[in-house]
Amino acid sequence: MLRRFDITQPHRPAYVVWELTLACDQRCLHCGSRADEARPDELTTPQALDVVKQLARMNTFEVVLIGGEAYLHPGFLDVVRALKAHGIRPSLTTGGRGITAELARDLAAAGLHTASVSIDGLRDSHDLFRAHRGGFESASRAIALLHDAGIRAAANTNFHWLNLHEAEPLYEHLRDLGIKGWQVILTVPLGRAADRPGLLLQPWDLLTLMPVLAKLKKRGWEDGVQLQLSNNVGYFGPDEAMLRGPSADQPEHFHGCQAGKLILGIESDGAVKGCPSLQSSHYIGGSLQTDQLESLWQTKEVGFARARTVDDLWGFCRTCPFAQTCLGGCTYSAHSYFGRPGNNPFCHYRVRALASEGKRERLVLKQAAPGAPFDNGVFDLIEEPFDAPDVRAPARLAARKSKA
Amino acid sequence: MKQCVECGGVVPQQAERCPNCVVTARSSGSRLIKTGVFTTLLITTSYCVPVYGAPCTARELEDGGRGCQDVCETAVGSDGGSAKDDPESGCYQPDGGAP
Repeated sequence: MLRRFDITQPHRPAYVVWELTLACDQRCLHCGSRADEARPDELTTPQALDVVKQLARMNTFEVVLIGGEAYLHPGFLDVVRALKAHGIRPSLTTGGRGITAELARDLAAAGLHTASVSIDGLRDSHDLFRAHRGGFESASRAIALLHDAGIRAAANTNFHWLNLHEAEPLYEHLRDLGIKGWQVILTVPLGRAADRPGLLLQPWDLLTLMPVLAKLKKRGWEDGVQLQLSNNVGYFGPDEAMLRGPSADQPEHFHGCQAGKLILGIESDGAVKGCPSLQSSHYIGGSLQTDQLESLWQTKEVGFARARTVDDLWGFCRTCPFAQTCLGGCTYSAHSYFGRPGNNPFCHYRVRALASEGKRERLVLKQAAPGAPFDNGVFDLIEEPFDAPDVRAPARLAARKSKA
Repeated sequence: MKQCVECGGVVPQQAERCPNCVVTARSSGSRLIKTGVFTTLLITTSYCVPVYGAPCTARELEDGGRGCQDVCETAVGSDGGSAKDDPESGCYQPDGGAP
């Protein structure tokens, strides 16, 4: 039976997302790590295999290999095998461009448990967002190849201004490819996404998206597809219990940012963060090139969320009735907009509460991102009447003209 | 956390009311107020807009009073016919029947 991690258990890096290399075969418009070439000092295969041993010592349950494209690291299959051999569940998140039938078979033989392919909309939206004509086909083909190889195939989708209205047909496409899981994520201005604010959703778009996701969650249960909200899709709307639950009879809810509590992120040069998407400038606790994971896990940069209280929140989140549990939602998302955590406008409850008072919040870029991996700009949060004109460019135009 | 039996939403342990129900009620209240204001305006401005023909405040009704025709069969159309047979009337139905 599917359950989320028991968040009452002692803190440990149960779920680790490991960027094996920053080298990538796509140049996605929204890429948080601005993936392109490999980092100058990436972990070698022997170093990576030693990290696997450290993870095993810390009782890690699952490692998701990401990139860039993880399969571009020379030790990729060795790492998958080593994880499996140490009793850690190996998974992969990939754009899918380089997945061949042979690689899919090799991955299955190496013990890969799940592969999640990123598909960010229907054909036109995906290809535009991934800056890769034919990307939709190659990603769809990758799902089919992984599925045929006997690997649990899943998909993940970033929702943004281009694909806001494509959730339902995209779900049907992915379901027909045989996926068992679908993770839904909101694109936030991290890395390259910060360069194109016109691609981002505004908070009130949750009023459009969330009811559709609630409907698809229920359809997924009937179809054998587990729709999973990313921790940055917020929070506590009327469908929260159903949306976060693994089945109709197992209601769940968001438990706050789990960075450094049950989640750990590793960058390809060995830098360790509490969550892979956190801003490198603020949240790196040290490097596996020089320190052991056990000591890095104890640093304040990695474990910041363990000490967070309502007193650390600000804005709407500070006085929200769900503050005690939510604690301001996703850290990297809030930091992406405001340069600090503790106030997250992409919250379903918040958007509904404001709308009931005839108000909404708009985010406007104030300061551009510097251009490094996992960096962010700074946005102004403007409260305005709910029926104020929507000045956003049509989605197609936004893709081409909104580069900051 | 508790779960609301009304909306299914999650409710903090210490909360007396479901936050989502409070929001929904406020939205409904806001809508009701808006609807009420709109309806009042509509009634005020259009109560005497005729069901049929010209503004009926000036129209003498069959009972000798002045006001709106409230029955489509009332035979006081500007053309002398029944409202339901008049294409300009809201009562008019192409199939000849009353609305």
